[in-house]
Amino acid sequence: MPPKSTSSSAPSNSVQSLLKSYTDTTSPRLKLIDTLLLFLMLSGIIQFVYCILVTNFPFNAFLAGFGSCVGQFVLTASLRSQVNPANRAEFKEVSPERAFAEFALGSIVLHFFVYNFLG
Amino acid sequence: MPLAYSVPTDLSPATVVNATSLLRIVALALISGAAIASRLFAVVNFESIIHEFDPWFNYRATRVLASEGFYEFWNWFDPTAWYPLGRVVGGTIYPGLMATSGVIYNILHALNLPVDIRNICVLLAPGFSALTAWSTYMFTKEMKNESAGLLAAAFIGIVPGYISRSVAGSYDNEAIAIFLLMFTFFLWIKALKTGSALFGTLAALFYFYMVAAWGGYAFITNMIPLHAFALILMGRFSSRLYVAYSSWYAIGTLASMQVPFVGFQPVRTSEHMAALGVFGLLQIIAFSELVRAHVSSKQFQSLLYASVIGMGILGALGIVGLTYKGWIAPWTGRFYSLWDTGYAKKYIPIIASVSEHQPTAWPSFFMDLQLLIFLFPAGVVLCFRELRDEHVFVIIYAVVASYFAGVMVRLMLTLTPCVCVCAAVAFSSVLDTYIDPVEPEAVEEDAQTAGDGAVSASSTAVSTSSGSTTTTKKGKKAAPAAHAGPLDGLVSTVSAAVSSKKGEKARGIFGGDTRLAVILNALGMLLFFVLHCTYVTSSAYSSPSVVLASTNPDGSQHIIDDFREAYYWLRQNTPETAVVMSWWDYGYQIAGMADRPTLVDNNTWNNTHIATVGKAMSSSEEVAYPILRKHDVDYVLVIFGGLLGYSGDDINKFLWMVRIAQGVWPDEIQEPNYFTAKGEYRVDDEASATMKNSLMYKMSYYRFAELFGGNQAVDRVRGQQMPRIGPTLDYLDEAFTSENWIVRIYQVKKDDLLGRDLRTANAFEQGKKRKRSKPVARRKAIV
Amino acid sequence: MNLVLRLVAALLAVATAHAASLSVQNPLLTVTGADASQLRSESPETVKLGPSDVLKLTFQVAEAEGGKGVQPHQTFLRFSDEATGEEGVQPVRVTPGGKAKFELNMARPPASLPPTTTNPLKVSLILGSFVHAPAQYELFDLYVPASHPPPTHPDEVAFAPRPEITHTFRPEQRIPAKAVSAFFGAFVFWPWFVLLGFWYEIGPRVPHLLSPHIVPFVVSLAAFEGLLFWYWVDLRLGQVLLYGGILAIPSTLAGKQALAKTSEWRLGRK
Repeated sequence: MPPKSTSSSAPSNSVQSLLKSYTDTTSPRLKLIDTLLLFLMLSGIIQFVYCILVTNFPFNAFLAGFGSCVGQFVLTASLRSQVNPANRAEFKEVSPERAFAEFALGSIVLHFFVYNFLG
Repeated sequence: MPLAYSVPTDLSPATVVNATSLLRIVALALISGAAIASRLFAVVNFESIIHEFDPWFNYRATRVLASEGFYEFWNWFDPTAWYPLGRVVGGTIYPGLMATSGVIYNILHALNLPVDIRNICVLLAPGFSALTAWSTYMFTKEMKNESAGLLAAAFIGIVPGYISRSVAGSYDNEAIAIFLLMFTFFLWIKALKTGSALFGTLAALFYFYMVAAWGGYAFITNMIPLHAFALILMGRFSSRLYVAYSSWYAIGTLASMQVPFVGFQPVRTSEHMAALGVFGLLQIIAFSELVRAHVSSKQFQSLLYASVIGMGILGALGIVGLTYKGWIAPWTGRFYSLWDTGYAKKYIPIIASVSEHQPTAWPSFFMDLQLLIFLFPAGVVLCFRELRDEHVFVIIYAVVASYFAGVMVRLMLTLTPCVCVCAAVAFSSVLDTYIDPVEPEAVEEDAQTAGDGAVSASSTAVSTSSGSTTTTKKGKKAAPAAHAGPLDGLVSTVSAAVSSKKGEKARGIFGGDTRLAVILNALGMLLFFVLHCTYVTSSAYSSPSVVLASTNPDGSQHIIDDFREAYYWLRQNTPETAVVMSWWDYGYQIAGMADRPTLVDNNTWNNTHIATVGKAMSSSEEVAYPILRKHDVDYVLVIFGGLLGYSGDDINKFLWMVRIAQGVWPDEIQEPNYFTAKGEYRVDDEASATMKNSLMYKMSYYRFAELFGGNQAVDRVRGQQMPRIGPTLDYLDEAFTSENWIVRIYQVKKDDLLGRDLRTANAFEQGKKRKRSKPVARRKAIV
Repeated sequence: MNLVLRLVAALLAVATAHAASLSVQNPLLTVTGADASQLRSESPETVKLGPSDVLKLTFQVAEAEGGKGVQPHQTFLRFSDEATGEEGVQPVRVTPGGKAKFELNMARPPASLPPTTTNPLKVSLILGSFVHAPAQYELFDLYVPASHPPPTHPDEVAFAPRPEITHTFRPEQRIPAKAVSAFFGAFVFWPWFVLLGFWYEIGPRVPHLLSPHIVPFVVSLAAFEGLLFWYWVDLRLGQVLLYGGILAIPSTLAGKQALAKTSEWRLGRK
């Protein structure tokens, strides 16, 4: 989706304009994915903070938890960019459905390793 | 449009497509067959036997895996290796190879095919070479087209550089690793091309397999990020790159940490930090791309770029800082030795002592790759001409692997697939150009010559070696033009590519005779390549090194089987707990064939322990004896080639023992003492006293002179005349000497029953009169 | 074989019983001090020697019956310190008539005199003969000045027992206080509220979730997650790979069907 709605006469605060443009132009499906991304990011950050502040003792468990967040994040982000209509031209061979199937497969493989690593 | 020769026109396109795909399948099957068959020389000439040193350990571990089950194997502690320390095998190996043969073994047995595990191990490498040929075909198909893929598959199937590590019986990690390497790269390229997380995930899975199989996985770990980074720098970032790289890295890294031997290294060591850094960079760029899609302000964009660069620098500084503080382990010694070829010799002699870690001698490039080495640069140049994302990959691969292959002999293996791919691209370009029946129309002269230049250049590169230099020169001229494009932006590259495509229209070859000349020439070269490969494989790379062959005067083959003779002697005649000391090269073989505990083996994880053995070998009997007794050594095994002229014996390795021992005990062992006053390494009369007194020298030449029955004894390896009276041994007994004297085993004497020291006891045995001396009073009065 | 040996042993025992035994006669012991003072004794219990005293011992070896002097082929004086286990053996020359003389000069002691402490040395006479039964006589306890402790054998360092190896382990990992863990454990959950909150706001519509085309796929995906959870709790690697492989087949089919249907809907809507 080209950013048509953002105009050069937008408020000086660019962050606000960014948010406005985002809420205006993004489809609810993508927003759904974005909230999931946000969720994963927050979970990952909390675990990282715990690791830094308190302890990294079962290091494999931390890596599994953090890795699952990061992995799921990038897989979801991949899904997002694949289903994003704006990127249609880039992904000629990947339909949104195939993207979801790939997402599911990738997640299962990721979760397998996460559980294996959890200890 | 004029045609150079007539082509049938009454074929439907479907028929053509079907016929070509059938032909491709048949060709691939034949290539696989050839790849497997050419690796069976070792079995045909000798027998179905495990080769060399490391494979013996892999074989032993596989037997444990097959008989005890996976979890037992995982927790296997081997008390007989590294006596008395023992070795945690499960945590210190790459289990991929054993797991692979274990799975094959179980499947075959589930199908009621009672195949011996040894035969699976022997034939695993040829089997996987067929798969390598297939994956190289797939990889090259992505680069150019199917015909180039078939050529590449044929090349990799029979090229000696790869056969050297994958003949039947060479049951080593590399046997499956090259297939995994090529297949992971293929999946990566596929993922990058389609932007599919599926292929990214598959690449991660095969990367995991590779990590589990070979320590060289670090090559992939750094190649893919390097490629991604190069693409970013060229301004070729795309969502496809993001999807491919992120899914590969996230899953692959987590997966690689499941291998116990790798452990937390992917987040702790510098070798893996490049991948992490590129991963972070990609996230930042993807985010900024997302933001840019919503904001059009030019200023904001520049702000974004600044912040991206700033964050990149910050990240790099962070990694450096963490390394400095010790959170991330710095580069390991093996890694340094890749950059500074003199490093290993100075600091880690144990790495330098391995012959396959030596820098490559230039003839071996020609021996291992033959005509491919000429085609290789031409192929790289052709990659520059198209320069799609995957061509960038091949170019980077070519540069990096060429360097590594020059540094270390064994890394020739990683270069070989790349050479095959590039050579196939070049070769198939030649064939395409010259077989194409379309003749160009005779247009104005200047356009013709301009268009023809590149093609004729590449064809001359094929036919003569001098031509290749001209190509590279021309390629270099062409390269900056192509190179400058991406730096300016993607648009100019695309336009350049389009314009070059327009130019191609005018290209072509006139007449049938030129075609015939070039094609016949090319076929001739291929024929010679096949002959060369067959010859090299059968003569140089198919020796098991456990069994040696020589030729009788009448031309028949004579098998020298000293190693097995000696190992079976140990197995049959010594108690099961008898500890055998030998130089570490033979540790795995003793454990595998003789089934006896060893002090050190090819794992080389404990330098001090190896240095202890080196010290025992290089010091005099009196000094060595307490060391031997303290380590419960019952037998000492040395390899001696002096009788037969077998040059890989212990006397030739002796200086490394000295050097390694000197690294730990610089006061007691000094390398210069082992040379003559003139600085020569000699074993004859002129040898230095330290040399003559060393345990290794004595064990090698003990009773050697007697063998010649009064004639002059000659060491056939060193070509030196031995002294008439050989060394004597007081603390060791000769227990066994094999038929051709290659393996000599000595028993360590126990303490004398009468409490004398062994030297005195021995002198008494030989009836020598003891020098009378006043007994020394033990009592000392207090004055 | 064994029987023969026993027979021989028995015969030998009989022979020794029959053989005449040896005796020591006229033992005479003289200690000459540094000041030439003399002490004579027939058979003392203990003898003390100073650093420069001289001990002289004379005796005659004779047959117990008849008293005829004999020359045993081996005659030794043994000095042994029972406390330290040190001992020395000194051969003594005996004349054919059986007379023997031994002199111990403490100023120049023989090499056979062992290192001593303040403990006495037991002195015994050992006689060996081809024709007579062997004999051993405890003569007396000898006190000599203490000497330096015996020198240690050069190899003793190498073969002596080493101090026990004590392994140093990495310090046990610190497990944080339960409260901190619990707090962070709870803290990890709050992104869920963020997620659910946003989702509520966006209000995603899943109109086809319960259609028969979609349900099998969703169920199989859930089954996969369940299987992996089960793997964490209980299963072994081989099992999970087997079950996963089996489960993969229906999931693939269900997924193909479900996604084909979805794509139909999507294209239809367009």
